[in-house]
Amino acid sequence: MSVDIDLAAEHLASRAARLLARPGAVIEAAGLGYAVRFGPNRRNRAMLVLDEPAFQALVRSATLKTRALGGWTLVVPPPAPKPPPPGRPGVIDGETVIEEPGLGAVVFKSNLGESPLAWLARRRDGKGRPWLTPIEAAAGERLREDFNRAGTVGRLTMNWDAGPRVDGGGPRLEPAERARFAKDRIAAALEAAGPGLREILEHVCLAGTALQAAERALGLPRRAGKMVLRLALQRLVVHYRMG
Amino acid sequence: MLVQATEDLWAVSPTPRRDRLTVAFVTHLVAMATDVSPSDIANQKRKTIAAVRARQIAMYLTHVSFHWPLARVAFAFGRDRTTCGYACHKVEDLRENIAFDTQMAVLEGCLRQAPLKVTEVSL
Repeated sequence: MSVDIDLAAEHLASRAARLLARPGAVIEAAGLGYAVRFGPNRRNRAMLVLDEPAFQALVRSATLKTRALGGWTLVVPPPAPKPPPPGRPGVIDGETVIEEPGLGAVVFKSNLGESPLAWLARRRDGKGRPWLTPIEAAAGERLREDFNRAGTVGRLTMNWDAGPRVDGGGPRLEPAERARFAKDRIAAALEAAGPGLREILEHVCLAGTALQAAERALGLPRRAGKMVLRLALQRLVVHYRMG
Repeated sequence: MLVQATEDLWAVSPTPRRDRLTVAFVTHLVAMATDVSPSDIANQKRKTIAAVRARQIAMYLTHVSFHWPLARVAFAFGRDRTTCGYACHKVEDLRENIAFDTQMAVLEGCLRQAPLKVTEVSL
């Protein structure tokens, strides 16, 4: 008998929860029971009247929130958060500043993991060997870093950092000096690459053009740029004494 | 203010034509479930007790599933607002019966799958 009463209360509570899920629905004490209404208007007849056991079952199963004007409303649980977007290996979202002839510096969205060198270092030839050995790729990256250093101004104001000096605390390089030395290093590296190979280094490592565009600009046959770049990078490896 | 009031008075529903389609959909659904012909449900007269009950179920389902106010349901069914209110309370009281409750839950689930308006289909 008690089981039957419990079942009836559960059923009534589930009906009330279904009605209360509607936006604007309210449950409030009315007489000896609890009335479920679709709106705040108390003159309308209640949609459903709960008795005490059913109301207690409802409180147990659902979350009710006190309403400022009396009664309770159902708290609808927020929808589950959206899963994060799938990972994209090899893609680093970033921005590149490119000098456009008529417009000046224009910021473009770009994939920072997609420099021509990085692309070529990830590719493999027909025998499964990577097109560039890690040392060749590192030599190209070093040339590019020098180029970045030559273009950046660096810190112009006083350095008030209180952290420990791990670099010995000697006199710092002036920004202009740093740029000057970077330019000297680039000149020496391009000199070492030789007159036939320095152009492709200028295009690919310094300007960051794609291989295909560099081939077109230099008048090389198609798909020959890879080989020429590899030869140039091998010269660089020798020059940097990385090999 | 007055314009708003008259709009509220006369335009019970923002899309009356679409509401008629929705009501026809619910009517046919209830007709399939209760074995009463749709024309009997849509009839202005009380043909049989079964037809009356099916009509009440259709009104209740429209009110509960689509969250329409009673005036809009009544307008779409071509009935009085209080008739719809009576039907809704009647059916809600009938849901004390567990078998009937289950059947109505099935119909509500079916209506929850009803198609929304498709604005543009790109082919």
